[in-house]
Amino acid sequence: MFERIVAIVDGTATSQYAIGASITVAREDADELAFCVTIDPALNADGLGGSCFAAMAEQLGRGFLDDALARAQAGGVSRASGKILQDEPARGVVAFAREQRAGLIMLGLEPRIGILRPFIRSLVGEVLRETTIPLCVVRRPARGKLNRRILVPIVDDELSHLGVTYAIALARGFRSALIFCCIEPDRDRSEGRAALDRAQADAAAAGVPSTELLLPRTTAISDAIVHNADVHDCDSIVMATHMREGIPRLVEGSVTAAVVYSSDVPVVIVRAPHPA
Amino acid sequence: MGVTATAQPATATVPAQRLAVPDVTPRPQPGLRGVAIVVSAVLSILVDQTASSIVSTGLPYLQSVTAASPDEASWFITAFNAAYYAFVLLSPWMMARVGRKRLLIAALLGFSTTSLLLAITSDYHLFLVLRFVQGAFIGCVFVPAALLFFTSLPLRALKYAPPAFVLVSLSGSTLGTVIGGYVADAYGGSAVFIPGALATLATAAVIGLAVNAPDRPQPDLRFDAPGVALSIISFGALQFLANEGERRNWFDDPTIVLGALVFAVALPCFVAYELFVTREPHVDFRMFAAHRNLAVGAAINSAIGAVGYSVTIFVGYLQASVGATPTDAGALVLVRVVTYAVGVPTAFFLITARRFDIRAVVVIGVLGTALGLGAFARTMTTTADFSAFVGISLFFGLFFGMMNQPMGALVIGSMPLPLLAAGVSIYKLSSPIGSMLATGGMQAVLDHRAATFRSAIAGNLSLGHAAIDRYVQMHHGNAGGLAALAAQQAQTLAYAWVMLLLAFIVLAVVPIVFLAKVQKPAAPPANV
Repeated sequence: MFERIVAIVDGTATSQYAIGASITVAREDADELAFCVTIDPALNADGLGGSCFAAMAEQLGRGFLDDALARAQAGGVSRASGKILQDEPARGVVAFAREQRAGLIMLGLEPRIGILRPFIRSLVGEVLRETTIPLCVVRRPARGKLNRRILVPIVDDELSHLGVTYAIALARGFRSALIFCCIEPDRDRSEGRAALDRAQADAAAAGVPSTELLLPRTTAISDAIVHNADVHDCDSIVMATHMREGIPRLVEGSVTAAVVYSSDVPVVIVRAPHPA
Repeated sequence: MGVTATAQPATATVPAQRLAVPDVTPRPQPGLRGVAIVVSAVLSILVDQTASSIVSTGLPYLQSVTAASPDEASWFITAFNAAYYAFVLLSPWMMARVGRKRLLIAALLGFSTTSLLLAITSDYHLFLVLRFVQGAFIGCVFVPAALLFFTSLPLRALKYAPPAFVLVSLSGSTLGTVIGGYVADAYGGSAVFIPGALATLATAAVIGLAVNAPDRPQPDLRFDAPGVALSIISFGALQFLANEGERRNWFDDPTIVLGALVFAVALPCFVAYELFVTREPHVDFRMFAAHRNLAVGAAINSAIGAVGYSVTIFVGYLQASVGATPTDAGALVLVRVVTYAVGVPTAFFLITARRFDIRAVVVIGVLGTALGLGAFARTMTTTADFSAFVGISLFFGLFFGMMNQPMGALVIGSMPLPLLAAGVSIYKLSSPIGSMLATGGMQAVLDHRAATFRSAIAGNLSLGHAAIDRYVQMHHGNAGGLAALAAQQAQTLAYAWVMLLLAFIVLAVVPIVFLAKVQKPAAPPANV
């Protein structure tokens, strides 16, 4: 399905979870796994040549890569490699993923105080801004397999369609079951029903088993998605995002961001291409 | 790491030297443990930076506790600093010999114990011995604490290591004056030792519990006893001259002549011994030749240390001319720390974003600092009040912070990893050396200028001036008060004059910084 997976390694606990998740997926899908560590070029930006801090960063990076490669080998992934990238994190990772022709980028998500989220750029946002390669964001250790049962939140729009299409392709590749989940829209309840019917029809046409959840709008959308992923024992969530920027991001917020920061299961994010 | 390196002999006649290389393997720890380690390292640095300032401020109280004469009390500082500076230089070797965690805990506990003993001692000679031991212990704190800080940072935070370290060091030395002033003011006497003792005790406990990286001691390293002895004598003599030179009217006093002779003999002997005689030196003086930026950074840092004397001048002025207490004066000095916290990150951003060359940032910092010192000099009058200095302090702090930020990169950052500990010790020492030189020189200048101004003012005080005549008549012919006013005016003018002199001294950094070896910043490497 993915052929190559790029996993970002940075020594944090969540990056360890991402390594674990990437090993599980790579083993099941027989993918090649490429770990990468980015070392900020700012460490050498002063023009003083090789600094001891850059050397220290390289030593750390090599240690992280060695640990990840040892885990991959122990986890049964035969084709794994590692690379230290001397670049800004998002730019370096995206360039590396393109070079590798990666089908998925995996990364761990560091916790962040809710009120500050809209104001602080996260690596997830930075990477998504630069590429349409799907991103798998991991915040907690995976529970068993990652792709047995996948929750797909949808609404009746083009963006959701992108998410549905990707989730169906994923489920076909891994023989997973999909749960399409829709929160009843306030204005027209039939919209939610129609979206679910269309998604289920698409899944059936692709030979993917699916069920549906039409939920009343009682709590925040993101809370409902995360809660139901938990209740229905899902292994991951697939979502599409607009990657809004600037004021719209601050005003409207992002359901995807809220889900990513509260989900206990990995969230696969597919970004819609920017209009030409 | 954890191995020893052999230096190449400079000539065929010099024996190959074995230099101690402490373990500097980065070992960041996740979660609360990591935070605890970084916080304890920062605390250790702060304790180190404040320790000597606190006692300097509380010296008059300690003099009365031990019933020491001014000549004797001066040895409290000399004994402490001689051991302190010598052990800062020795601490990279000590780290390699016994391991980072063991050294740090032993040094903190040793400092704490000697501080508590000092708090209950009134015997002069015992006091002096304890001060020496205390200096030796605290001298072993800064380098391992700095290395603990650097090696405990997570990967993504490493780029912030130099500015964060500079900010902590800079703020710590300023805080020392404030804490010292407050403690001496509020408690007086031997209580000045208590806060440091408690802080080091707590820090040692946190380090003991949180740091779990194994030490890798190198027991086969041999102690460079003659080198350390020469180092202690050199620093002791320099400190003695700085403290006592002006007070004893320099070379009119035989002890100053003797001190100068000791220094003139001990320092070259120390350098020569480390360079050419011993096979296991504890200081690698060749690194100044091998790493030009270290030499440039150390020279600039010394100039910055000299500028640090402006704090002494400013506090002296505030107490003498504005009538401030040590606490109030310290609080006003503390104002500049606020803008250190702006200046340091600003310089870091300008350099890392490649907006400016590192030398250009130093020059901007120097010019701003010189202007700030000039503004201080202009405002230091007998009628100025506190509020007049707030804005100037903020302005000065901004540019002084900018000037300091690149020093972390120049002195420490540009060294190869095995020399990191040595780089930190030079960074630590270069500033107090500048400060010692400034203390000796500036105190002499201050006294001479005050005398000159006094003569000039006295020459203008004649009954021919209506105001003077009226004053003398009002005081029934008693001109004592007038003389005191004249002396105060002369002292204030001298303070302002020395502040202006420091503004010119800091400008000397400009040509020095252009000796630094700086490459043209390259575009970030493409990975595709």
